Amino acid sequence: LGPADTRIESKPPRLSAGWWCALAVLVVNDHVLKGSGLLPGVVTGKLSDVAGLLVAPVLVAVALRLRTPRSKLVAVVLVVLAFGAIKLSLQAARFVEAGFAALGIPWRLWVDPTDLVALAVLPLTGWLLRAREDSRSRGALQRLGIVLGALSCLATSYQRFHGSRVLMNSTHDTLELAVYRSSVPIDCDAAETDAESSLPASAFVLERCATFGPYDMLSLDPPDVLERDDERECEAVVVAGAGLPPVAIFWSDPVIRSFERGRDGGEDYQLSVFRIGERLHVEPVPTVTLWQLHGELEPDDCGGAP
Amino acid sequence: MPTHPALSIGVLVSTLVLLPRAARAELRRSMLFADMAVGTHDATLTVADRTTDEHWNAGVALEAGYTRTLRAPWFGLTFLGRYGVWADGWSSFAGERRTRFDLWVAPEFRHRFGTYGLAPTLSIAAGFGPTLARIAAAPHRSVRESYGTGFGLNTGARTTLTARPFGAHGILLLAQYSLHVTLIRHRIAASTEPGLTSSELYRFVDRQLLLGAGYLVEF
Repeated sequence: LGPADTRIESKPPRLSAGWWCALAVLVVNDHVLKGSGLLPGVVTGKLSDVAGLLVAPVLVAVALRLRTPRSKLVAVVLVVLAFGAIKLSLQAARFVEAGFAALGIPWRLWVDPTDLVALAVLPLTGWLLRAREDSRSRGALQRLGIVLGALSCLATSYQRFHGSRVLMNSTHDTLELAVYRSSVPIDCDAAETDAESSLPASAFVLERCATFGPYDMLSLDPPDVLERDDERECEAVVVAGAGLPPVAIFWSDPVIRSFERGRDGGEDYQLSVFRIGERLHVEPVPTVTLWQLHGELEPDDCGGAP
Repeated sequence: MPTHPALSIGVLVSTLVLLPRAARAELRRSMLFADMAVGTHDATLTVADRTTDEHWNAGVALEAGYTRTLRAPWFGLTFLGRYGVWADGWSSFAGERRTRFDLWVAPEFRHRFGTYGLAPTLSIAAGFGPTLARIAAAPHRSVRESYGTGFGLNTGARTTLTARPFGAHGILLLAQYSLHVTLIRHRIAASTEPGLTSSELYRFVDRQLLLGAGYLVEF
């Protein structure tokens, strides 16, 4: 760096136009693109990390008014170390999640070493940190940027599940459930009128055994739903397991949606399974028809099933 | 006698100020302190015959206490009040807010490194006491759910390093390991199936390692 560069670098960094673009990408990606089906999940996931590594170090440097190149480098290193730890270590991710939870901020983190590929964007981060003082970047705008950037970084890592209807495990236990699906095409109009009569136990065959932990979600759609070309108008499944008498669930409008892990209730498309004493209980939502299935089901080999 | 004037002044100040202060410190028999500690905890929840483990959770605690010297300078008794948050993965997903208040009494053994100046002191205490716990049920759940008041016991060991750069006032660094056993009644009722209700006793056993720092005053 020459003397002029040193003078520029010694000023506190500003939120440049490039930084605002990265923030816009982060927000649009996390709140519009993720789960929309417009881009594959692997792309939106990596895009989130790339945008986050552009936004977060600059945010730290601006918020702490770091002036010298060395202090800015320390900000980058700290962010990279934290990013690396939560991408490589489940314990680190859990610890950060729990720490934020203790402060009343729910934060979900993915442990995925392949996300470290986003570190390739760091030279661009360095360029953003060298941004000159911009007369248009007034104090109020800077403060707004800091708040928006912090909120966006916190909101970026919710774990998402996809399906037209999902079942969330709201118990403390890992559940093993058997999922049955209708073996014949469903007469959706008839089932809409009287699902219980249209879909007897004999219509369902075992599709899979599903194991999912506390606050994980189980998609009730067929496993190959994203590859299928046929237009589905309705779906029906039966779920059963230890402590859970067979429950049949029918729904129309099977459009794939995105769900955030840990968001309990308030979702019209998200059912929850609760433990009430020794029994498991599926709490329905208005967009499904749910009933206790009577009749014999095909036996299954699922560990937790009766 | 020191020949350098600055050294002479230093000795004079030490004689007139620090020695009487140190002597008074020996006579001080009470200490009040407050600190904040953060760390990790493992928890095990047992309900009837079902057991769930939660690892690598966070603990935050605010503490205030009083230490009374009984056998100067090496032995005393510490009374501590601790207010803490114990979050785990499940409670953060659900949105439950868990807090507890501990009382703790412990014999304390001390060793003071030197008599003058900072007079750093290493203390080790081990004790026990009652615990009062509250869990605010998660909002927005589609079942009706509530918790009673939780009661339990806490026990553990605590080591502190104190220094007194401001005479009777000082700082402390602490590390403590504690074990809590808490019993709390959980009630849940299905919204869509009248009569499907449950009332069970939850037993939490959690082990907590906290590191912290605080402020003390002796009198």
